[in-house]
Amino acid sequence: MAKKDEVLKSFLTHELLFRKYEVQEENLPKTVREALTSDISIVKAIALIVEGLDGTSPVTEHVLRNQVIQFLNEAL
Amino acid sequence: MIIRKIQIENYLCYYDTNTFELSNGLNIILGENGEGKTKFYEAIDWLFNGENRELDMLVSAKKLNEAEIGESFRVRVSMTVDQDGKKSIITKSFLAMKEKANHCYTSSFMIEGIEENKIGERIQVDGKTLLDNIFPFQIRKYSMFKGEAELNIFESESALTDLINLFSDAKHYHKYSEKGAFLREKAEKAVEESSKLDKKNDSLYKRLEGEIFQLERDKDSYKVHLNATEEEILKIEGYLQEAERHVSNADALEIINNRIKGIEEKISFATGRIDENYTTSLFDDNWILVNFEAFQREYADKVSAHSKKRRELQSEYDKQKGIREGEKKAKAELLNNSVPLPIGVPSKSHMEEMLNDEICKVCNREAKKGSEAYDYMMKRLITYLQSQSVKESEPENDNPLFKFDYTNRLESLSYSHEDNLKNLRLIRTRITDLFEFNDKRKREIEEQNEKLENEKSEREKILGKSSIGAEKLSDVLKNYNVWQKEIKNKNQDQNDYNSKLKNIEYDLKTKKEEKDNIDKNSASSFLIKTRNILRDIETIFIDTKENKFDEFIEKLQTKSNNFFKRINIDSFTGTIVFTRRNKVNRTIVEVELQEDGRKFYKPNQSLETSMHISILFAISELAFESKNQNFPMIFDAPTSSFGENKTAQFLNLIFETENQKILLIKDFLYTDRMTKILSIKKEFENVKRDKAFWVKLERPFDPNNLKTINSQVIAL
Amino acid sequence: MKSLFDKWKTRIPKYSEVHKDLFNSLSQKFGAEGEKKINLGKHFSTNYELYTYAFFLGIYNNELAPIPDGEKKIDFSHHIQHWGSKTTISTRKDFTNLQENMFIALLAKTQVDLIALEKGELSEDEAVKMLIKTMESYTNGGLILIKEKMEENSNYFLQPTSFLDMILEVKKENKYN
Repeated sequence: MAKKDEVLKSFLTHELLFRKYEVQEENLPKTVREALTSDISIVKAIALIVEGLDGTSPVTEHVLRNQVIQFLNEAL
Repeated sequence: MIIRKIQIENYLCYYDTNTFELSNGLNIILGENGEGKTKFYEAIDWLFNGENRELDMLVSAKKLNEAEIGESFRVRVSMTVDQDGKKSIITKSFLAMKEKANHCYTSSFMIEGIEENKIGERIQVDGKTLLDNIFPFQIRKYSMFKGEAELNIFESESALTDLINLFSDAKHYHKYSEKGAFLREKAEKAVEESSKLDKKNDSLYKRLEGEIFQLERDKDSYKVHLNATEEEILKIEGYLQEAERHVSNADALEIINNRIKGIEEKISFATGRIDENYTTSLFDDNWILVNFEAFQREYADKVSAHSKKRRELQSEYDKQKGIREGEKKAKAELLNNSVPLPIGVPSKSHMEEMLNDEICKVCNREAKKGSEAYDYMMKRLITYLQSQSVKESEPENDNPLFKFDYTNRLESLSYSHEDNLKNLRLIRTRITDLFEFNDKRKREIEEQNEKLENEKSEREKILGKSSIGAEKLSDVLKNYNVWQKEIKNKNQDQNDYNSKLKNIEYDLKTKKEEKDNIDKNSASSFLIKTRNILRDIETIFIDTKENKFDEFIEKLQTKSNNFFKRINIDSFTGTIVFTRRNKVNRTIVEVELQEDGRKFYKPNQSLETSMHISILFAISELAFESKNQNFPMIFDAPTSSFGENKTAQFLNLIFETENQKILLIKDFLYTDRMTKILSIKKEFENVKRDKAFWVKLERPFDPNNLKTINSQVIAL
Repeated sequence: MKSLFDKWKTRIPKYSEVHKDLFNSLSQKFGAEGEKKINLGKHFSTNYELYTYAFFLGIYNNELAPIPDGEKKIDFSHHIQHWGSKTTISTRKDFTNLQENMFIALLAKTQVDLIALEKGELSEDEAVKMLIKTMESYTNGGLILIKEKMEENSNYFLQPTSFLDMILEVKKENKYN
C-alpha cells in the first residue's frame, strides 16, 4: 500500500466518523482513489486533503483550500 | 552502514599510522586509562565534527620531536565505511610543519571523500556531503557516547521529541494537523465575517469574541502558572525524597507523617467549626432581642388598651347615633351596656354553628329558637353580614367617628410577636451554648496542638538518626519542615489553578456555544456546515497524529524496558516511563525512572547509565525498523560504574543487538603486582565479541614527557 | 386598614454628626462583608447595623438622649425597610424582622395619641415623626454609651465578644415590670 493510502486509513478509523457521520466500518474505502469517489462528504474531503499533501503532485495551501471548499459547495 | 577501518596518523598519542580493522557486530577495544582509548574516541569525534582550530594541539609530540625543522608531515584520521554495497572513505587531515622545537605551523586543513563503486573505481566527492550522507548529523548525535556523564542526552527538553520526530511516523502527520488547523481557521473566519454582517448581532458578537479572547489568554496564563507550580512541586518532592533517604527508618517516618497529617486535619476541622462572629449573630440570629420581652409586653398592653378604648368610643358613638337616628344598625344591646366585642368575633361560621345547634357555645347555655339568646345571636350575625355587604345606601353623609383603622395592623403585630416570645426566651441559652461549644473546640485544638508538637519532635528524632554529617543534617531538618509546608501550599495552588482552569473551560465552552448560536442564526448555513466539517477533520487529524506519537512512545518504552531489565537482571530495576506533555505551545516528551508509579529520585550512577543505554538501544532498534538502516554506536567507557557482574550482563546484551558497536572499556586489564606487567584477564576470553583490540602505550614511557607517548594497537 | 409600621419604615432616621467618627471607624457605608470587612477592620458591615445596635443598647439601658438642637444630623440614605435584607451575601442571614421589633419598642415608648390618629386629628406624618424622634433619641443614647466605653478603655472593642457583652450586661430590670 502506498504511503498515502496508509495515512488515509489511519484517519478513517477515528470514532468521530462512526459516531457522527454514520460511517460503517465494513464500507471504509481502502485507497485514496476509492475514497475520492465516496458519497460521504467528510470522507471525500479527507481524501482530497491526503491526495493534496501526500499524493503524486502536492498542492499549495491555497489550492488545497479551494479544492476542499469547492467540493463541499457541491456536496452540501 | 558499517565502519570497516579506522586509521589514525600522528594524531595526539597515535604516532605514525595506526589501523583498526573493525568487523560488524561488537568490537571491543581494551585500554587502561590514559593509554589511548579515549583519544581513539576523540579522533573519531574530530573526524566528524572537528574544525580548523587549534590544530597544533592535536599533533603527535613524538612525531614532532623526530621531525627536522622545516619538515612537514600529515596528521590524519580516516574512516572507511560500507553502505549498501558501496565503499567510501572519509579523511580529515592537515599538514604540520615544524618551526622549532615543540612548535609547528599547520595548514591545508581539509576533509576529503572518496567513493568506490562495485567494480573498484574511485571517484572523488565532496567530503562534507559524503559524511552527511553516510552518517547524518541527527543520528550521529545519538550514536556516540563519551563517558557516563554525557550519556544523559535527554537533558535538553526537545532532545527526545526531536528524536521521535526523526524516527516516527508522527512527524509525517504534523503537516496534516497544520493544514487542518489552517482550513478550520479560514472557515471559522468566514462564518464570523458573515455573522458580523448581520448588524443586529454585531455588538453581541464582538463582545463574545472579546470575552473568548480574554478567557483564552487567562487560560494560557493559568496553564503557565499551573506548569510552574507543578514543576515546583516535583522539585520539592525531590528535595524531600533526598532528605528522606538519609533517614534510617523510612517506614516509621511515613507513619508519623500520616499521624501528623491526621492531627493537622483535626485541628483545621475544629478551627473551622468555631464560630466567633458574635457581633454578626446579634443580627443574623436575633440575639440582640435577648432583653426584648418587656418591651413586647409594654406594646401589647398599650395596643390592647387602645383597641378597647377605640371600641368603647365607637360603641358610645354608635349608640348616640342610634339614639339620634332612631333605629338603623344599632348594635345589639349588651347586658349592662357593656362594650360589645368587635364585629366578626365570634366568626360567622362559629355563629352559624351555634345558631344551628341552638346552643351558645361560649357559655354553654341553651339558645332555643325564639329565645332571647337565640334572637340576640341571630341579630348579631345579620349585623355582621350586613357590614360585609356593599353598602349602596352609604352616602347618607355618614361621618364615621374613626376615619382610619390602624388598630388592626397594630394588633396583628402584637399577636404574631406574642407567639414568638418563646424563641426570645431561648436566646440566652443559645448564646451560652455557643460559648461552651467554642470553648470545647478551643480546648480540643490545644490538646491536638500538644500532640502535634510531640509527633513533630518524634519525627525530628528519626530524621536525626540519619547518616549524614551533623551540619548538613541540621540543614536538612530545618528544610524538611519548610518543604513540607511549601508542598502543602503548592498543592493548594495547584488545586486553585486547576479549578480556575475548569471554570474557565466551562465559561469558554458556554461562550463558544453562544457564539455558535449566533453563527447558526445569521451566517449562511453552508458556511456553518463547512466549518463544522472542517472542525471535525481537524480533530481527526490532531487525534491521529497524537495517537501515532503515543504509539511510538509506547514502543520506545517497551523496548527500553526490555533492554533495561536485561542489563539489570537480578537487581533492582524499576520502570522507565515516557510521558508526553503538551505544554503551552509545544509538545515535549519526558523520561523518568519510576518505582511503583512514583518517580525515583537520584538513582545511582549505574542505574542511570543502564537506563540511558537501554533507551539508546531501543532508539537504535526503532531506527532500524523505520528506516531500514543500521548505524554504528560508539561507546567510550560507559560502564565504569557497573561492576563486573553488570558489565558482563551488559556485554552479553549488546553482543546480541543488530548493529555495529565499538566499545571502549578498561575492564579485564590488570597489572601484575610483582612483575608490574599489564595484561589481559583470563575472563576476557569468555566475553562474546566479534573483534577485540588492545590499545596500550609503548613501554617504557614517561608520563610527564609527551614525546615518549605512542599508542599501539594490538588486534586480539 | 392603615399601617403605621409601613409608613414608618419608609423613613431614614438620622444621627448626630458628633458621632460621625464612630460610624467611620466601626462600620462601612454601603456595606462590607466577610474578607472585605475584616480587611477594613470594621465591626459592623453597614451603617444601619451600627444604628440598630445603638438603638437597642439605648432602649435596654433606658438612655433616652434626644439630639440637642445645636447638633447637625446626618443620615446614610438607607430606608429602614431595607435594613437587614439579604442581598447577595451568602454568609449572612436576613434580619428584616428586627424592623418590627424596633417599631414595637418605639410605639411602646412614644406617647402617640392613637385615638387622635385614627380620628384623623393627628396626621400620620406627625405620628411617624414622633416615632422617629424617639428612635433617634434612644440611638443617640446608645451611641453615647459606646463612645464612653471606648474612652474608658480603648482596647475594649478588640475582643470579639465586646458588643455582645454590652447587650448582655443589661440585666433587664426594665422599669416596666
